[in-house]
Amino acid sequence: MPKVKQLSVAMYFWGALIFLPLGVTYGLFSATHFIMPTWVEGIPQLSFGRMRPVHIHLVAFGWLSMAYVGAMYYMIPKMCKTPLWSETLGRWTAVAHFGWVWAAVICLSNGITEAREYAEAPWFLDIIFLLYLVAVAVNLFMTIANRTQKKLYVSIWYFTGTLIWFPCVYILGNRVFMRLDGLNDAIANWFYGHNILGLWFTTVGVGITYYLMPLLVRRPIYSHKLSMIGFWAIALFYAPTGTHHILQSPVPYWLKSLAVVSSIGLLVPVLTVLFNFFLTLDKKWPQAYANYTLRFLISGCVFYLITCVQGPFQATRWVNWYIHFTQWVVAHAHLALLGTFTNMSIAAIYYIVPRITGRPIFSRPAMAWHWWLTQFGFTQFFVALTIAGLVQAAGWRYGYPIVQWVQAMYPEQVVRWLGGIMIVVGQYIFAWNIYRTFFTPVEVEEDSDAPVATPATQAA
Amino acid sequence: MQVRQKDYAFLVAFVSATFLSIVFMTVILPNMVFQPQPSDYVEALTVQELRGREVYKKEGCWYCHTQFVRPQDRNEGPVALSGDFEFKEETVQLAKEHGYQLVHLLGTERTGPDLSLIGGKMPDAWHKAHHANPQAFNPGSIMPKYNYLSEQEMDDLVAYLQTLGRKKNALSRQAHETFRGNFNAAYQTTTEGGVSLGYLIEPEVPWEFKQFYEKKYKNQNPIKYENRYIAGARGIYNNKCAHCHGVQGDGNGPRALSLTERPANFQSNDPNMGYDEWSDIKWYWKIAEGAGPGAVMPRWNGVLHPDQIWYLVIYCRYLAADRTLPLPPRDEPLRAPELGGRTFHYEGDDLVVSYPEPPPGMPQSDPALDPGLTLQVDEELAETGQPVGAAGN
Repeated sequence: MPKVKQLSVAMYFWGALIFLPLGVTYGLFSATHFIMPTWVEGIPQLSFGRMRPVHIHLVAFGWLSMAYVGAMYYMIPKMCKTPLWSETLGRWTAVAHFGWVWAAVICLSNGITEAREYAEAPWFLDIIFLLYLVAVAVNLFMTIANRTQKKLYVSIWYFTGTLIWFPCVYILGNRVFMRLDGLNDAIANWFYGHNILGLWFTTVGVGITYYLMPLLVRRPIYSHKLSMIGFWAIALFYAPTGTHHILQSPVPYWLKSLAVVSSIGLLVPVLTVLFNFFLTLDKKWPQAYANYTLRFLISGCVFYLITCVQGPFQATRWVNWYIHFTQWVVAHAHLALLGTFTNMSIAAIYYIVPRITGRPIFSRPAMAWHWWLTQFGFTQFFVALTIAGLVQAAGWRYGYPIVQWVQAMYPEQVVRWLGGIMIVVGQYIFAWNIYRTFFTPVEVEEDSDAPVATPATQAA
Repeated sequence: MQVRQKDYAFLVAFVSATFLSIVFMTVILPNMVFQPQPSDYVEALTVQELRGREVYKKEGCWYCHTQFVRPQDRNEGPVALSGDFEFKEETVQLAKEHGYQLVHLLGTERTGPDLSLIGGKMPDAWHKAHHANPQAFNPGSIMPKYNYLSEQEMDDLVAYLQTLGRKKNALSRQAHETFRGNFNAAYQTTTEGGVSLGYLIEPEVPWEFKQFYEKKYKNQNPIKYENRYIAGARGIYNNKCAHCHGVQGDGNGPRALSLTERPANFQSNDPNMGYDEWSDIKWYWKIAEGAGPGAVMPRWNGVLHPDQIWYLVIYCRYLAADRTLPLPPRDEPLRAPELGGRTFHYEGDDLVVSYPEPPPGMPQSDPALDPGLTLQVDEELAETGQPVGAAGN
């Protein structure tokens, strides 16, 4: 057992680093179904309809959520200049999260599902996850309440907001306590389906970036006021957007209009946040040559820009009519979760692990390979799927029989699959690298704690 | 160091208030004001069908197959109504008794066809065999094989699939069949028994028809009714149409066995059909726009070049009307337009087809170049493009 400063954070990262390679492998196997539909036969657990929810749960709730909570467990005490309220509770929550994801994976593999997208886990697991979220929130709120740092840095705003609304979103989306029929069920489902992205992955990811960006470029954040505008705009605009997923269905017209308008309104928080990040980076870009952590963070920001310009564009009624239901949307979803927030979480892990183990990252060439494979593979993946989506949409528009455009997408699916292989290899390298950092018995002089936030960033 | 906690309490309170107001607006308010009544097409599910629904959920069918048509899509049949996704009271009771939780299965991505109107289109046996081996039925399909489902699960799943849109399909097919002889009337009818047909957006004249008339063709088939062109069209017909309609156009193609509604028999003597009296424009419209709501035949518009459809028109007329023109023997390499290489251009109203030079080794089989294959043709017919007995438009 290595000596680590905060075992709860390390435990979260270990869990995340088991789920990330596994999750992307599941994704790759699912993608294989598109080019070799009969490559597994007679194994229910490996049929596409069951691998897809497992892929989502491993990546979204296993990898990203564990990395996020681990990062918050590290960052919030640092920003508050106080230890985590209960380290014991922190370790138990890590174990609970790890066990929960495995339970969900086993249930979903065996067809125990609620059939609600992103909320497939059965109801008893929903309740456990809700209790778990409350435990995490209590731990972090008590840490903030006991703080010795007076000013609240903007990352704390993001984390606080998230820990308030994410349990609410989760309980509404999984509807453990109420019953809705027909289209009302769909409305609530997509409220959840979009807000798990908007009010959990986005807000924590942006909070992590607000923490890391000034530290990595060694410069205060460009504008604290801009970051506040971004925070409140996310809080206002994100929640009503979910209905844009069912624009073509007969749900109330006013609700669809509200979703479209607020989707376009999302440009406000996104552009303020990115303006802030890129101006913080102004004239410091060359630092990304040597610093792979910063490279991952910047890659995340760039993909965030693409995601969030694409999102409002495709939420408008006629663009949605054309590209909805196609692989374009799959590409967009991966742009958010893989391109943006996975890159940000990777940056957080690369930043935090040396600081809790007191050792530098085991292998810099491995970091370089990880960066190149991830970004190259993902860009290839994204472009191929976007083109596939356009092929598919044109097939519908001109009334082609379905099997014809399925065949027409084959080359794009192969390219996507090859990109997927690069991503998977990159993540295995990443996991290997971090485990070697933790467990290789090499003693290096201890890295001093980096400053939490420079004085200018604290000027609220 | 002692710090004030008041700021933080404000933050927490303000964030909560903002969020709860938005939740009220987007989730609770819609649920309060939006309570559609079950529409006429909703059916009470039997116990077996509910079990099938569970199989559908369990296997994740809804990841690839949606259950709502896009209203703007013309070729998807009747549009979905709000009440279609409600459940009748007895169904809810039944579901509660059996412990099933009803979930919307609208779906999220469409890798396969939309299933909201699948009910009644194919017989049960077709569905079962298709689930076990989709590629056997549809060679390009990427659907996984569900051959691991038990007999019971397969039966349940098929029973559930047959409920989807069954009533709607039956009603729209009934409307279609009522007006089968008079297709203009069929497409002008906006509602039949309360059915809102996806096709019938404009009550007066179907806009596709109107638009079609305004095109340059003006009921003029650019392809002459000559045996060489008919022989050229045979390749398209055999590729695209013969699976259902049969090589002889008698509606007995291999796929016809799996369809509940038999494909059109062009040789039928039924006076209501009167295929031998159909005008060119009517044939064209039928091929281009499909057989109508609730039917399996797709729209070939866009899939086939208009000239290819015109070729099919003369071939269908050949199958329906006389079948007397001796065509080149089958072992001749076909000069089907879709085999490529040939070019079209218009000279005035005439379409001129130019064939490329055959590659070395190929027999000189182009009937235009081979006088041995040019057979005696009725002069009037070749001039007017109208077969004997075919009604003009």
